[in-house]
Amino acid sequence: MGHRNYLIKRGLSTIPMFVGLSVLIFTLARVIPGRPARLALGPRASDEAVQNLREQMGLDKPLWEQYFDYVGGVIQGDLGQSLISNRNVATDLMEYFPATFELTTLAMIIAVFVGVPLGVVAGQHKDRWPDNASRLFSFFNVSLPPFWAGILLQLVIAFQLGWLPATGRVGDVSPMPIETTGLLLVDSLLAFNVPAFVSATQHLILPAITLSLAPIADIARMTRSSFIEEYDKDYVEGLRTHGIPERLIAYKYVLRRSFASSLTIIGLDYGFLLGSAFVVEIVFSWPGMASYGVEAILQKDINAMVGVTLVVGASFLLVNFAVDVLYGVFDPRVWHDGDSQ
Amino acid sequence: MRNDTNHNFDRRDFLRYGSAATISTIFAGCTGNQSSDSTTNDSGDGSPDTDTSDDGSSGSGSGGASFEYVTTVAPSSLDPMKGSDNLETIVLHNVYDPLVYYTDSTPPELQPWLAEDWEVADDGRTYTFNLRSDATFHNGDPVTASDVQYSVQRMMEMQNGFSWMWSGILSPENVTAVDETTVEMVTTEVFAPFLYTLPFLYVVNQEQVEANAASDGNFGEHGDYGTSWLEDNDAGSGPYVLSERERSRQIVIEQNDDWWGSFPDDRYSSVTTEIVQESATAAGRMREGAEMSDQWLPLQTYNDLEGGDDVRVHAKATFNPFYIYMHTQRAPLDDVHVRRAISYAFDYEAALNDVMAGDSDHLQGPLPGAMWSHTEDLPTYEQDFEAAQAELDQSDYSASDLDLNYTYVSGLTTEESMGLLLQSNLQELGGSLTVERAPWSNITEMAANPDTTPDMLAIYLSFSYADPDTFLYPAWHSDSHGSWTSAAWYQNDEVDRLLTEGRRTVAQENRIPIYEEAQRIIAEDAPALFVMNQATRNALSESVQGFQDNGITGYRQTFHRYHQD
Amino acid sequence: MSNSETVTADDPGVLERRREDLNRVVYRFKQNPMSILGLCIIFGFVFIAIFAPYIAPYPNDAGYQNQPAVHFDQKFESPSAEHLFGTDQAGRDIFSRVLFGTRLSLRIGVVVLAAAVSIGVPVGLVAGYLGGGVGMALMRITDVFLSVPPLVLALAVSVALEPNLTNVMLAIAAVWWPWYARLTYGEVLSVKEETYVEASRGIGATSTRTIFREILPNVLAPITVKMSLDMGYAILVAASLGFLGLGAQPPTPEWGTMVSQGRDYMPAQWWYSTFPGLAIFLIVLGFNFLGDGLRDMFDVEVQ
Repeated sequence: MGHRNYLIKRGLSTIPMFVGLSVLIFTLARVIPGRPARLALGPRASDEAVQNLREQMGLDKPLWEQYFDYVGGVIQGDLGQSLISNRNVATDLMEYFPATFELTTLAMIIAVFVGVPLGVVAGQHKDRWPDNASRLFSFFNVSLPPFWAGILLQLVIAFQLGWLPATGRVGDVSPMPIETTGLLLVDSLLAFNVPAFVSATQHLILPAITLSLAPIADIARMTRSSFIEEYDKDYVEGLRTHGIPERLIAYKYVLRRSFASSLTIIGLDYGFLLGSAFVVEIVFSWPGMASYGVEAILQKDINAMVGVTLVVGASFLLVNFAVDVLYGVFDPRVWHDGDSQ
Repeated sequence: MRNDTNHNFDRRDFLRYGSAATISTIFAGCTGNQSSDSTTNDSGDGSPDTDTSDDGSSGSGSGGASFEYVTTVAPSSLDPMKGSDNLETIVLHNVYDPLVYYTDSTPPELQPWLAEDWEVADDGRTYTFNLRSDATFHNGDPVTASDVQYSVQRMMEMQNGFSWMWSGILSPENVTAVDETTVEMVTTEVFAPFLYTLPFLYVVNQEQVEANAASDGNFGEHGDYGTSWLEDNDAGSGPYVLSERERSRQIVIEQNDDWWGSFPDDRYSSVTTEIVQESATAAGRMREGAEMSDQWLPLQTYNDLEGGDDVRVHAKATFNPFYIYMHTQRAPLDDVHVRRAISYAFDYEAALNDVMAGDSDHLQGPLPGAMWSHTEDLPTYEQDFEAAQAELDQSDYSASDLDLNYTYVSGLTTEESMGLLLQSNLQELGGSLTVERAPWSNITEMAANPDTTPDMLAIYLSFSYADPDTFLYPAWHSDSHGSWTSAAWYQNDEVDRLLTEGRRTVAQENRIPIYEEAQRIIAEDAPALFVMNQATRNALSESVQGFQDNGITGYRQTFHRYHQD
Repeated sequence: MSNSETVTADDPGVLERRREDLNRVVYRFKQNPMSILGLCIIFGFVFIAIFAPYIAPYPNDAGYQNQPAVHFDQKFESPSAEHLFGTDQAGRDIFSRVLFGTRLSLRIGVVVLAAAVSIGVPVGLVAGYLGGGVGMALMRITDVFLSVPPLVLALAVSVALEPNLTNVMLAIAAVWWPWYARLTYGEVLSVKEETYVEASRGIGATSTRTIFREILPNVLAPITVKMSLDMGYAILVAASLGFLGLGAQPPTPEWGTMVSQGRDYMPAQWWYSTFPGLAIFLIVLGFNFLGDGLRDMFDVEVQ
């Protein structure tokens, strides 16, 4: 129950953070030079038309009033009109978010399934060649600019070898599965649409690998160090004397106990992963929220810009909250020592 | 239209950093619009079967073939009173009918469309249009004079899209439905290009639009004027019916069997605009048998495509002038000799052959050669350093006073290359130039004020109606100051007078000498480097017949004129 | 933190002990081959940055001495002895441009971190020292910044400021300082716990003196380590912004912009994106190696 109280407290503390974020980004969007109303109407619009649109958008009101109007709208699910798509930003985000969610989730899954075993192997062979190799590999991964790594994968795997498509989210598949979740992999499975599933998977692989590179490294390093700490403990020797196989000791006992600290890094990495998505989606023409966000920001589509940033911030806060919850599952100690985190 | 302006460039281009040659043509998007819709297509691992997009509905139409148009830029709005750029116009003028239409010749002429005929009264302001009686909207309602009146009202009250063309010229109360099929329009002053603007006034079904208007909107009793409904539905009478719009993926239009006009025999009864993001994907689709690509792929991609068996690449310089404006109200560019010296220093040869692919034209004066009234009897400039130095000697400045700034639209590699070329040319002359990139939105703001306007500004002057006025008035008449189209801040009373007179003179044969004189003065004053009229390219399947590039926004894709061989 | 001993300048053994500390530290650094490698890479890049005009075969292609050159007739030549990394769309030597690009990247890294540290450290010091409501409030503000990935926020800030190179640097610094504020804050709290601060207060030290004499030296080590780790990352973020179209004005070579421009000519002109990207990778790798070595050396934990 210590943990539960902690979670409640933690959950509540994200609220002011979120409010702060919305104020920050809202203000940024409003001080952008190059009047958004003119952008929406095109270069030959008359000054009068621009002024009318400004009034419609409420851009002539004081900033705080605009902010409260906006918050009022957000509560009703209205994120304002996008100047680019002529739709409510909420509608746009509903369309683009699933693609980003699918991509980042798969990337995180790859990162965990590669990073954790890598960390365990490195931990088991501390300071010997597997450890050094894993360390070097991690250094390479975190140093790779994600956009460049993506381009190299495209050059080699897509263009040179022709194994996988270079860009896009799905190939020329007909019929497309009906959209229920917006996650193509899920939708195509629900519809038993094998061609769509295969195509969607092929398109996902390169961008997901690109995104997973840095988290793989972080997770491997974190797993290694917490694994080593746990591996040195007396009970491990005890397990050995009972003849339990080393593999089992490593993965069943030690890893389970040390996994909690890897979880924290997964939460943090999710934020970085969302950030990298802003360049990786561009490289792979991935029709997701991040590429929508880049366009929104660069084109000064102010409502879209605020909307995307808030969703990114909210996802990051949510993931970290989820990590805190899971933390309790993996590490019962926090139930008694909740606030130490 | 305005459309073709640069500004949206930043939209996708800065993402892809436009490719050398052609992208810059992208004029695509102006208006801000473009959507951020992204595409779901891919680079061509699909099957060669191309007409898959219609999800089984392809049996429609009357048995004609299906046509796949691949584009890398998605339209933002399909509301006929919001659309204003190339991408949007493509859909709009296939789905909606205007009163008059452009022919596919170059230069384009007007032909009757919803209006069977029309007359202009002697006052030069009163236009009477007789509508054809057999035209019906897609829901079966007849097209009436009051729909035309309503369309003008909707256009002018929404103040969006192409409404700028008629701003100050036409107001809804001066449009009268005389009877069911007769419309009278009175312009506030004589505006000779008026008829040429009408192909951009799409006629919508009043009853249908009002019935589908959302009540909460900015237009009083009209609610939202049906604008959100019109994004996914149409209220037009054109040759095709909007059947499906999937923003990030495709737009499908199907033949309108009840259209008043006629299709060729081997027509395309279903047209799918497939939105892809990468030029490599578009090229892949073409190789797999798509019928047509857009004009915004990198030059290299067209070259690669041209090598293939079933694809041809159509390149033509029509109405796509590229200028480098010089700020005529700021020293040292306020001196005509300095401007001429720079005009003599620029390496047009390298610009046309090395930066571009050799098929763009060197502009002679401000107008593209294909525009009526264009005259070749003008001073034109070739690179000639002696002449440049001679001009400088006549000025109060020396080469070392030339410390200038060149601004171009972010992402347009061609404009960047032109700047770099000019930089090295000026260096050779003894001056210097800084090259700066700015987002389109900032450029429009900069150009609003003479103090913030850059010394030199790279601009593709967008083409709208087929009249010399479309290029000359926005660029060189002092009334246009403050717009990006007028970034030279050019002020010449004689030119002002001529351009105004050109608008006020109704008969074309009387206008020609006026515009010839204006061109001559402008060319002598050298307020810009008239660099080139850039060629536009489209890749087409060998099987497609009937394609003509008349240079008008969106008219490259008049699908109802196309047919199979 | 942690392992440093409590000393005062009056203590006679202090110099000697410090020298011993230093020896131990250097020894530890030397034990780590990667950190040596990192140091070599960084020295290499610094060398290139300084001597670029002498190393680069075509310095004017990179805009050297405000005499930028273009050779449109030589565009897109593939790598050869003459042009090691090939040429770009203006016929410029990519090798020379990559070399000159080092100058800009290093400058961005240094400016960004200097700005971030000079905002973040004082904020963290104040928040930590005062503690209580003020401290909490300051830290809540840093939380706001940390809840969005730096690239996203930096993108928004630089657009809001008008995207030019200075503003891009400012924008990155603006989203970076909270990390230093938090780090400093944490260190201050842990130092505060230790009795000697209480003791120095006891003998009448002012709060400023306490901060500068006792707390600041203790946070120096973790901040140095974090800076060297962050240097690479800041360069990476700047390159990402360049990739998205915000960066140096032409013809100044900027690696991220070059990668992005080259993308349009893939796969045929593969060299255009490849080599500038390689440079980003190497410099970031160098700083990561170095930072890791420093971390071992000072034995500090930073995120």
